[in-house]
Amino acid sequence: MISSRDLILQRIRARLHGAVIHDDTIDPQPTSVLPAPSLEVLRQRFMDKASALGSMVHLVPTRDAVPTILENLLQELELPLQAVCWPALAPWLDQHHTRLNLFFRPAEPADAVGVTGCHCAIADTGTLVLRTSALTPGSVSLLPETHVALVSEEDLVSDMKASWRHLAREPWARSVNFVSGPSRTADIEQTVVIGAHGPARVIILLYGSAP
Amino acid sequence: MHSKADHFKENSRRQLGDATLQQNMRRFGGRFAQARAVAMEELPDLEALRDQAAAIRDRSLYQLDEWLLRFEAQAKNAGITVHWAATGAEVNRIVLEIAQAADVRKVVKSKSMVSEETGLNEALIGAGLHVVETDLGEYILQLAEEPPSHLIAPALHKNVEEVADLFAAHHHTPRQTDIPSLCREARVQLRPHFLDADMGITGGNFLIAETGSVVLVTNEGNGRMVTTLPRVHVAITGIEKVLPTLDDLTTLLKLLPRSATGQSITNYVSLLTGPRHDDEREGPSQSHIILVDGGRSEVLGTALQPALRCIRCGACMNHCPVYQNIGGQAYGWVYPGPIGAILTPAYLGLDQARDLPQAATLCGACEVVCPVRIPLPALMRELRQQSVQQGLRPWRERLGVRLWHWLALHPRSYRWFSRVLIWGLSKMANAQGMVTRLPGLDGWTQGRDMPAPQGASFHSLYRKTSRKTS
Amino acid sequence: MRVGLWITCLVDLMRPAIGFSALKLLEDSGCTVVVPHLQTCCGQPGYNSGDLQSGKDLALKFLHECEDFDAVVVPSGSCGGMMRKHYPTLFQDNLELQSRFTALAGRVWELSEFLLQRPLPPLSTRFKGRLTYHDSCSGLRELGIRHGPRQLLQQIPGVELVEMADRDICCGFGGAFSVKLGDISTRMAENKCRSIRATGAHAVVGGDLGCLLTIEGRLRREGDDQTQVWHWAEILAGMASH
Repeated sequence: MISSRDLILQRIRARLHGAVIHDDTIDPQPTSVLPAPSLEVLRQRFMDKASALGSMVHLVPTRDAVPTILENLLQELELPLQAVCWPALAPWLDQHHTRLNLFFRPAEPADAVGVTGCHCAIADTGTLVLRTSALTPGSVSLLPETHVALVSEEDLVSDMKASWRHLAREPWARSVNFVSGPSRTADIEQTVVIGAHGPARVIILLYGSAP
Repeated sequence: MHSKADHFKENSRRQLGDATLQQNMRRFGGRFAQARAVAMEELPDLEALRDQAAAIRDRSLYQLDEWLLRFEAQAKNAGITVHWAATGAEVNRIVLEIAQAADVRKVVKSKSMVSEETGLNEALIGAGLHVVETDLGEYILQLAEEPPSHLIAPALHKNVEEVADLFAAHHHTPRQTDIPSLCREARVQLRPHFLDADMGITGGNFLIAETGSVVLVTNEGNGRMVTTLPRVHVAITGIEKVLPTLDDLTTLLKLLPRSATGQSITNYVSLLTGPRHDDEREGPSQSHIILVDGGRSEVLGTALQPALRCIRCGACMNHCPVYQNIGGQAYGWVYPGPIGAILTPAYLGLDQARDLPQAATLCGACEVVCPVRIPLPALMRELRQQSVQQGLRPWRERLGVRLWHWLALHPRSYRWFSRVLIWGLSKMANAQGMVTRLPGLDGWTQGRDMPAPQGASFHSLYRKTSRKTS
Repeated sequence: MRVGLWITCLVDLMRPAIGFSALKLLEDSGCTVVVPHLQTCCGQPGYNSGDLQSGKDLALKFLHECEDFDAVVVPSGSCGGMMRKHYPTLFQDNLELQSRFTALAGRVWELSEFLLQRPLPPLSTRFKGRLTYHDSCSGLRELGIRHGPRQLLQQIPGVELVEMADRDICCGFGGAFSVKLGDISTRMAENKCRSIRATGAHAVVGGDLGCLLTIEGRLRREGDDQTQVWHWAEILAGMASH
């Protein structure tokens, strides 16, 4: 008996046989090559777009200031000073002396705050690009109600197309997630409610390139 | 899903008479349409982008076999098990086999329209599995035991009071009627299911041939949940969803969320490429994809092929005045609105959905917003032609069309016929110059009068003025 | 300029005043107007009902009757759309016919499009009242007619033009749709009439008689015998008595 795979392929070929190949005068790939925007432009655009989608963006002058700012932020928001973090962040966050109680592992149901880095961030849409791996588990940006993303200005790219080039530098991850703001639903009376199944709050600490 | 598509007239009449539904549809109104219009202002080159999107989809479709094989090879490389299913029944069988082999008891589902086509939930539940829909709209409908009424907002025909009743009855919790609390309640109810489910089932918005990835475009985060937490992930999607490259995806993602809800991007776009890696502590250990034909290959190479470009944004129904008045369930199967009026007869057979291609005024509102430029009115016209060729139209309609055709080709008879018609209509008119009942045309007069003719035809009056005619 | 005037089957049968309005406007703007006396129907009703052959036969009849004119003008966006957008697609297996239809399509104009290409003669018309314009679907989406009729109406002293909500949403006519699926068609007409009344306009105007019959029929059935229903050409030509 013929397998469904062969049957389907056979049908497709029979149907397409002699079909007029489409008009290829239209280039399916937009080719407009714009000069890369300056960091100032990227930063401002990213902040505007991410804020518009409901993320809270904080500028942090230096990388070293991040842990303290994180601590202050959690305190301000009256959150426990405790968070689950990407294991990849351990070498950085662990060496700082703060009151934060950090766990470097995949998220568990009780975790209220998840801290991640970001592989790159897209200015045009205010989007975080996160790859899963043993050191960057996806649950950290998914299960906790509050997701804090630590984003280096150096990782800002202009658009999704540029993000593919960024991603291509490393082997392909099991899951690549483009995250644009807190989870939401509008399934009841088209009324937008923030906080569906994913985080209800996304905080982005955008830090400068100084040490 | 059992089709009621061949009862469109009865379905739509019922929907028009349902006061609650009518109120809910009016509230829905043009909301998505307005949001789309605002979002599109961000795209200065919208029309060029639509051209590109259509070209991308055409490129996929005209070499569908090649892109599917490329996808299959890449997906296998990434550790995905690729299944092919010619029919809906085969989809259900494959999912059950995977479930049984992996000793699955609980299944959590993110939205999958293809699984609605195949009636997957009934099949799984019938085999003793616990199935939970996790998209809020789909969850509401699972409780209500109803089919979806919209591609992206499946429960838009329900109001907050109806949802409150459903939640109170099924959750055994105090009834709440504010929308944020209801959403919160759903989150609390569904979270344990995500955590202890064995299998996650999703659809797939796109398949990427160059990487072997399944792309999910979602807002709620349930898609990420069901592909991160359960041991087994099964993605079910139509064979037409394949895209050659990531750059193709980039272009389509500029249009999909904007066309759908007016968002510049959805909260989550996930590219899933295989099971968990050896050193990972989470993610499914088995990853399956089922490529479904279900009537799609039969549409290739026909005049209806452009319908396969569809990226399921829902813009056509958001702009359709027929859909907006009758709601999605009137269409009787999985896909409502203008695209449903084409896909349903295309997948199930025209004789299974005889009135769907007639369910449009051909106003063209859908065509001008379709991000992949599907010529929806032309395709409905094509299906109308096929209906005539296959003898599927009622004899009275056929006779009427034939009579008109003949008369219009014979001007003398046509003028005579006009005189009789004008005389008859004038006789039937009341003192206000209105005909209130037209035998044989009560579709018109049950809700409208017909203004009577002015008295004589233009051509007879014109002849009397003895002007020069050609 | 020798202009062929295509009356349309509905205007011929139901409302010849629209045809005479068009004739007057064309003559006033200096055209030699010819009314092909064998004309009947453009073929759109059959074509949209799935009877391709009747569409083709009537397209050929149109070609035969109208190919010699410098321009063919029609007071309907729906028939205009048939002639300009659909005729050229009907004969893809016959290059000669296809090119003749394509050439003729370039000379087919909906009335407002045609009038606005020429210096408009001074209008003797007056119309005192508030009007609201309904965008008919085919004219709007197949021919891009939106501003033209509004622009013409606004040149009439005394006219106050107000816009209704959902002005470009279908009135529910759709040819045979209005009979086949009368329930839905009626509901759409009802919505349209609600929008019209909300403007407080004395009259609703449009450019397609099918829509006008639908709207008028629904208004009267609802007991509204105040709101008038006109083709914009009737108002422009001073044939709207009120």
